[in-house]
Amino acid sequence: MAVRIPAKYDGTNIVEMTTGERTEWHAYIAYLYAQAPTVTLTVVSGSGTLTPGLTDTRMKAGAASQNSSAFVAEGSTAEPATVTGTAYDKITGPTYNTDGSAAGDLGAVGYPLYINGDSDLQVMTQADYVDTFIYATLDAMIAASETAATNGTYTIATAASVTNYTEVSGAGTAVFIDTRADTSAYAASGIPETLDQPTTVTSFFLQRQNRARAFPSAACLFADSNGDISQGPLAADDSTFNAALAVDIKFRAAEDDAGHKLSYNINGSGNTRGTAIVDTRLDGAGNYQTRQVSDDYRSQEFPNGSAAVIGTNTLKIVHV
Amino acid sequence: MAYLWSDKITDYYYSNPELDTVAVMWTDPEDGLVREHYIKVDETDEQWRDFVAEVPYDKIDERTMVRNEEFREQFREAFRNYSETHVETEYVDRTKPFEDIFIDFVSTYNKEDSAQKEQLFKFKLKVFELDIVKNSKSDDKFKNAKAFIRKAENPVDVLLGYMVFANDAELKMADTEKFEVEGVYVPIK
Repeated sequence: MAVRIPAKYDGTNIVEMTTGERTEWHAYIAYLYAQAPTVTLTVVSGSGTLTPGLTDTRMKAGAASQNSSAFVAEGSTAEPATVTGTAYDKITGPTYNTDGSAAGDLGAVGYPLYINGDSDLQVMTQADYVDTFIYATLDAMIAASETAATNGTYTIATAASVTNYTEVSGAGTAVFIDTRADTSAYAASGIPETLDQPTTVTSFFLQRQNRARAFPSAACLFADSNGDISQGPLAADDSTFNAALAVDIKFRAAEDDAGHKLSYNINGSGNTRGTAIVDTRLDGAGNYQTRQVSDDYRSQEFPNGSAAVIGTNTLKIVHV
Repeated sequence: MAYLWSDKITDYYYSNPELDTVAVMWTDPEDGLVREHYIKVDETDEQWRDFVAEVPYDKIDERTMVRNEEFREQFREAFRNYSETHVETEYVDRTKPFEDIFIDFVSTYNKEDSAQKEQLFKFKLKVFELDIVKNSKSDDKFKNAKAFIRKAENPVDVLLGYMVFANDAELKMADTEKFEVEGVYVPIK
């Protein structure tokens, strides 16, 4: 068994498919997978199984100080403190649909032709076919760089609506919401200000690629029992060969036992998918403000500074 | 599309003093909004390698410095406004001898202290600005040294990383894949 380069008819000669044409086949097979993915992640309200869970933190103002004769000095006014906000564990998975089984052997002439080392046309074996079409597609599906060949797999985005993707919860539910202190909400004239005045900075959404179908531009060639060569359909999902592709990509993605099963994790091994999920906080030492109301001298320290990333979590895709 | 940010980058910068995460701002052609995308600094990660192939380390350093300076200027402006409207003003004690400031920074560095973390951040950026670092070759030795400086959690490690450029020191890697550094060999010159 080996990865073969499928043959095609270029209008004049029978030649090997180009790298680009083979990539189009991977994209087409990924599309077949995306119609009913067998390795899924879901967005849940809580207790998701994809660990580690993520916790949002932010700064809040220090408690206001009051004195009847003078402002309490900056050094004695309470410092801004960290608020540990919502814990997010909203992703569950990967869940494997193991109802499928491998497509049956299509027989001696059921698989595409390739040009062998003697420059003869030869039919791929079933093992060649798996290496050439199924495993090569599964390899392309775990790339960090998301293309049509990663169709049906998951990513993280900061927008609820992304072209070619479906937001997994279906209801715009973020898997993490990063909040920070809203510095514009704190004013000296409002002392004593409410300590915790957050604003949402970034929402992170789990998205699954759901790109439209594009048929390969180069058709595979097949032999028949008479030794004649025919060209496979360029635009059809229902050929025997294409049906086998659809069955096998779903089966191998969820149940392959030779290291090509798809899996996801947070911060583990594999390629990063989409944006890292970050928790940010303001990093200032406190914005000391005062307010005098008759003989009531008030002071308070508000959150300030620039946003700094405190924690980073990444969704990874990997073979297991 | 390879990445959501591909060909749509409007800004980028290190988003924390540890220099381990980069914020990439990109403009969404669907709605014209500028969106955030974060990438962990990880030489083993394909997305990070693709990003630095498009935006080199030097450019990220440069943009981060400009952005931080913009924030500092905003802070200075706010401080000037404050001092003009308040009679009592606190002054920074600048009478401390340089050697005391230096030894305090090196020997009593506290990575939990946000002010000291900011100093370490500025220190790293200063090192990256040095010609000997900025103009170094792009082989693994110097790339690893830059990564070591970026990940450094104290000033001594930053100086050790600098020695690779200035003193022909060598990083000894315990695990190249995970970027675990065993130590730094510094030859006597």
